[in-house]
Amino acid sequence: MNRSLHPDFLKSAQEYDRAAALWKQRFDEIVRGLGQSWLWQTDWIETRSGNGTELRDGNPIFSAICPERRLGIRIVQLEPEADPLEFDFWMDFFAQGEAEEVKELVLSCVLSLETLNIATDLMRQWINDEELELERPSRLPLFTEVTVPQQGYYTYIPLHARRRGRLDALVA
Amino acid sequence: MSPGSSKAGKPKHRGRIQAQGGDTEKSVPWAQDAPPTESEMLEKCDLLEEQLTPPELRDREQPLADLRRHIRHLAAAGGGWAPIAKTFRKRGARAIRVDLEVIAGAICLPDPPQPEEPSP
Repeated sequence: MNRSLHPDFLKSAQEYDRAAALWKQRFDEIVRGLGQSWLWQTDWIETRSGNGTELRDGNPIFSAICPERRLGIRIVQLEPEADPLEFDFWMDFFAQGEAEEVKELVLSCVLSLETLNIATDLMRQWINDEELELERPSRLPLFTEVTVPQQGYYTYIPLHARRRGRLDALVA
Repeated sequence: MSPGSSKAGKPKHRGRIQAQGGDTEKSVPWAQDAPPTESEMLEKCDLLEEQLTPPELRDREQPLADLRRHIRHLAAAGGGWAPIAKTFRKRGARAIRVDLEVIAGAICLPDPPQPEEPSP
């Protein structure tokens, strides 16, 4: 079942806050499990305008930083369109070359149980290893990861897409 | 030390907008003592567009429109303070995006109120 979670998050402040809380809850579980709660701060990226208004645009819906390691995570949640499993991720540098430089993992996705699980796996790798091992066997029973590296940009292909033949089109 | 400069001597307001994805990596940075205004930020979008090839520009038409819309919205809502990191993507096209980074200081702050003229 590929149902989006909180699909009206851009239309309802309550739904938005619930979606944001879900991401934070999942992140908190990860850092707690890795014994790194004390190293990380959430709400790294400013999400309010100058007059104090919460923008609630999902861009980002969640962010976190480890100041000691100059490592960050930023999640951009997208409004559901045709594909409820729309999910992309990449590594980037915020403030590259500056004193404020942060090596960040950026996730951009529609929110569903499946994408939440993919995001969880990637965040755990990022927090633990500061890199993503993209060809390891998946711990997620529903998915296998196949990577199409493109200058540092990787796409996570879910198992159902492979069955539908999308994989060949993406690799070509 | 000039007003608005940080203690380390760096300009107080720094950031950049970037077009990334595929083979594209082009940017328009700023580092200045006064926060860039709404019109200055929109001009930077124009400068970024001028750097793009026609295919790059076609690919980023929607992300650039979304960035401009965000700048106007931010200006109407009192501006924005660092750290800001926003990604505007072309959905359905992997990696094609335009990013806004405000590293230090602010953008699009309201103009300060003009002092009243003393009555004669």
